[in-house]
Amino acid sequence: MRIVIIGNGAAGNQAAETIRKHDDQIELIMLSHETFPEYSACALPDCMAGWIPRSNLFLKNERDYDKQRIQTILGRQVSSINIDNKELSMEDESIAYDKLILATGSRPIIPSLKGSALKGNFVLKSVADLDKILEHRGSRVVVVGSGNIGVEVAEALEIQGCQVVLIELMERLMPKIFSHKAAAILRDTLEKHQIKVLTGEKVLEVIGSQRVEGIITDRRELPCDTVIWAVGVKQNVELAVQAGIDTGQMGGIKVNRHMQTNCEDIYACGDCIESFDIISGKPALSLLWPSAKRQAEVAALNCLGRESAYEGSLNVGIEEFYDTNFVAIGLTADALKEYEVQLIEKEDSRGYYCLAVVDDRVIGLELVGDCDRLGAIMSLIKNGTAISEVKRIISNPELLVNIPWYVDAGEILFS
Amino acid sequence: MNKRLLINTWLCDGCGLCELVCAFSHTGLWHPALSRIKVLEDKKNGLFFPTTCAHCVNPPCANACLMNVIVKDPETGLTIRNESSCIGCRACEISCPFNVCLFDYVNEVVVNCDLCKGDPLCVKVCPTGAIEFVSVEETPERKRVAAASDRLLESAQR
Repeated sequence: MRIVIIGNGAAGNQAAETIRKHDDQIELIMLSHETFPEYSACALPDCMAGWIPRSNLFLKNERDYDKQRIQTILGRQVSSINIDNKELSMEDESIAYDKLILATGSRPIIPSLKGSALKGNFVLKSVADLDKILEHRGSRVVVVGSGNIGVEVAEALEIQGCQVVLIELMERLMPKIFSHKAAAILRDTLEKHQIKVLTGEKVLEVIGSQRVEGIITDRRELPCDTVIWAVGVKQNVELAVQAGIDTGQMGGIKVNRHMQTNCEDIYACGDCIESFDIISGKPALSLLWPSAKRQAEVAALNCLGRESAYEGSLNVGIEEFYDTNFVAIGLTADALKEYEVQLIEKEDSRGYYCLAVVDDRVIGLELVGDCDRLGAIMSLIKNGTAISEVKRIISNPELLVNIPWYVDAGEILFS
Repeated sequence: MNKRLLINTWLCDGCGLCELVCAFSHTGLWHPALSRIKVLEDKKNGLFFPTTCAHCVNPPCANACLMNVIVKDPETGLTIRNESSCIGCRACEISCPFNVCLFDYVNEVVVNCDLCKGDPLCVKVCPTGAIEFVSVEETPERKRVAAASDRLLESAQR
């Protein structure tokens, strides 16, 4: 049997490794338009800040693929999938498959504004993007968008000595991840380190003749030599759509809990799919490294005929900005508007934290400060454990003896 | 023969020696915050629960790791880390349901119990015998017996 994997990111590689772990006979082919061996996209800003050398980004080298007997075809685009013949076409050859795993990922969006194609406009998603930004050596930078990447890039470039302006369209920083208080603390932290933060502001145009010279927003004009777009990503689904594979309402490839698409023997995992949220059960695009790895594991196991089902995606954001930890787990109150969400906010020696509770269950946690011993709370969120159940266990030593880490959870919930 | 720590929580009197030697042997500092074994305290009932890495079969910390530095040792079954590639993002720490991935503030990496390369110091210094080092075959059996005797005691008291 031959399994072909399209994509050489977290999902593609995890799928290959899972297959190899269980079966050393299957023929494995991995295709990717990128030429680099697997690297950690999450660590790109760390490299940009100078905290880790570029070589440490790479998680594998070419020999590792050989060792695992994964045949790689890198730097080549797949042009189409022929479902009836179970065949992939590339420029000058075609490759047959018995099972296909799509791990085509996502690509960053650059809005089509006037000037957004000028030299000096960048995104950060791949090693190639990082190399381009470092080569450009800008000194006055505008970062557009304040998701994880946007804020990480802003910090990294400020540390590298650039003048940085961070622009966010919504009224607060990291609006999908944090609620007002945590976002306000983040804003203070960044401003203390000379990053100019502009929220509720829309970029209208990039100005410059040959290269970026500035931007115009709905409120002002700012001179700059570099614009980094961190406004989100789009799922790479074109190949799948053209082959007749269904996509969902949010634009990702539609899969069931076994990561199967509507086409037989074709599975999909990682950034390119639409999965569901572990708490709300609603369709969700999870663009996180752990979600991609877990989905890939599920896809690989099902490919091998070993039944496995995906549990759902849990939002987890953990960031360190200027030595302060910002953690968000689960959903924010905004995401569950139709429910009555009770917010428990606290500030103590640990820092600021806010728990969102719905119907006796913690659905979200935000924390700024000490992130030690949060795992027990995260597992309550993930498993939907009732708060009353935690109370029952920690008040009874005979029960507690078997799950003593509930002591840690109790400290956060009831102190 | 692969061995694991077996913790008899009812014997622990909370002296904290295990934490101190663990911290010192791994970092050179006598500070319990750097220990890979943690003695949790139930203040209300005056009970102590030493907890440390369970070396899960399918570890959530390995799934969370952004640098893929956490792997299962195929021979010993231990959850091991390539600490030199760790970027200290702490994603594994918050995904460990037992809170036993610990941030080593000295080396700025996250660590877990490594069983002191097969000769755990905490076992040696524990004055009450609360921490034992026994074979993987024996651990589940011993845990079952302990749980069963708890139940028996409970029903006898009733």
